[in-house]
Amino acid sequence: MAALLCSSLYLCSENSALDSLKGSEAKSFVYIHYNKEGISQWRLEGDSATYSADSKTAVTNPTLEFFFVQGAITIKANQALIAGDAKACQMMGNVHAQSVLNRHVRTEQADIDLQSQTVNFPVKFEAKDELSTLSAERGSLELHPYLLTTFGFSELDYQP
Amino acid sequence: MKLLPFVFSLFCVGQSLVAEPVLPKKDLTNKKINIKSQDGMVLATESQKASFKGNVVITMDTLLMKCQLLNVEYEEIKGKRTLKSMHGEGQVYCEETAKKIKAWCDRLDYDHKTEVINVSSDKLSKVIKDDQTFEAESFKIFLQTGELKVDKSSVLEIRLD
Repeated sequence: MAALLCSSLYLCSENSALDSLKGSEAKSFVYIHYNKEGISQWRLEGDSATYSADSKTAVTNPTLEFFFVQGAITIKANQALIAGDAKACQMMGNVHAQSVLNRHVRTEQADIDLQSQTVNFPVKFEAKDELSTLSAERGSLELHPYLLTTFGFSELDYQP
Repeated sequence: MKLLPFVFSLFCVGQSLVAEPVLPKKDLTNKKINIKSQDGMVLATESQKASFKGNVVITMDTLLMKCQLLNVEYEEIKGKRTLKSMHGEGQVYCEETAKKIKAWCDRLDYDHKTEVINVSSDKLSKVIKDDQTFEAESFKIFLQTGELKVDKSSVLEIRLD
């Protein structure tokens, strides 16, 4: 958690420091990650946060948002588990990613590399937009530039 | 009585084989497309390209294609994403059921605007149309009319079974 605090700025609605929340739950949790130039790269917020001894933070009803010039990409789930070094985040249960292109990805688990801004889908997922539906056994999504790779059996339905 | 395969060879350049523009024009412009692949795909939004690999099966209305590797290009026309072209490689099979055309080849190129398929092979591509078998290095198949054309200078074999 110390690395997470050092590497970025943060906001927490009811507490001035995340360290003070260890072992307890807050009503809301907001974490904003900035790069060295002070530009916000992503933001994680949720209803509550629980800090474990292995330096991981569990966030309930999380929303993870990546900021790009073209707009934001938002990932929502039932729970998120973020590593103390803020390099990786795992989101589980009703995972729903939505991009500016109005593309929706739904799955049960997403493993997110916060540094490379890549989302891995280790289980079956479905990507949908207004014209097409793609389903696959596994996959990965590079958020910028938007590059979706699937593994195993994949099916694309395009309906103009 | 079934005749023995009657094989004759023609040396032809750009020769049209079938002249039967009687069939109604076919239009695949707004047809649903389904693509299945066993070994995944890559979708690159910026370059408007997608590629599929491993036992790829493409279904578009009455058109069925199978291959091992498929590259798809699409484009935005009036804000609507539209298929531009498809390139298939490896054990390519193509079937147009309405026009009774079947093709086997190494490579296949499909242009969505003109609805023309180019089939080509290192050795011979085989096309069956209306129960007649044609063999040549490459063919052009005009899906709108069902016309078949030998595109490259080659020996053409026509088998009448």
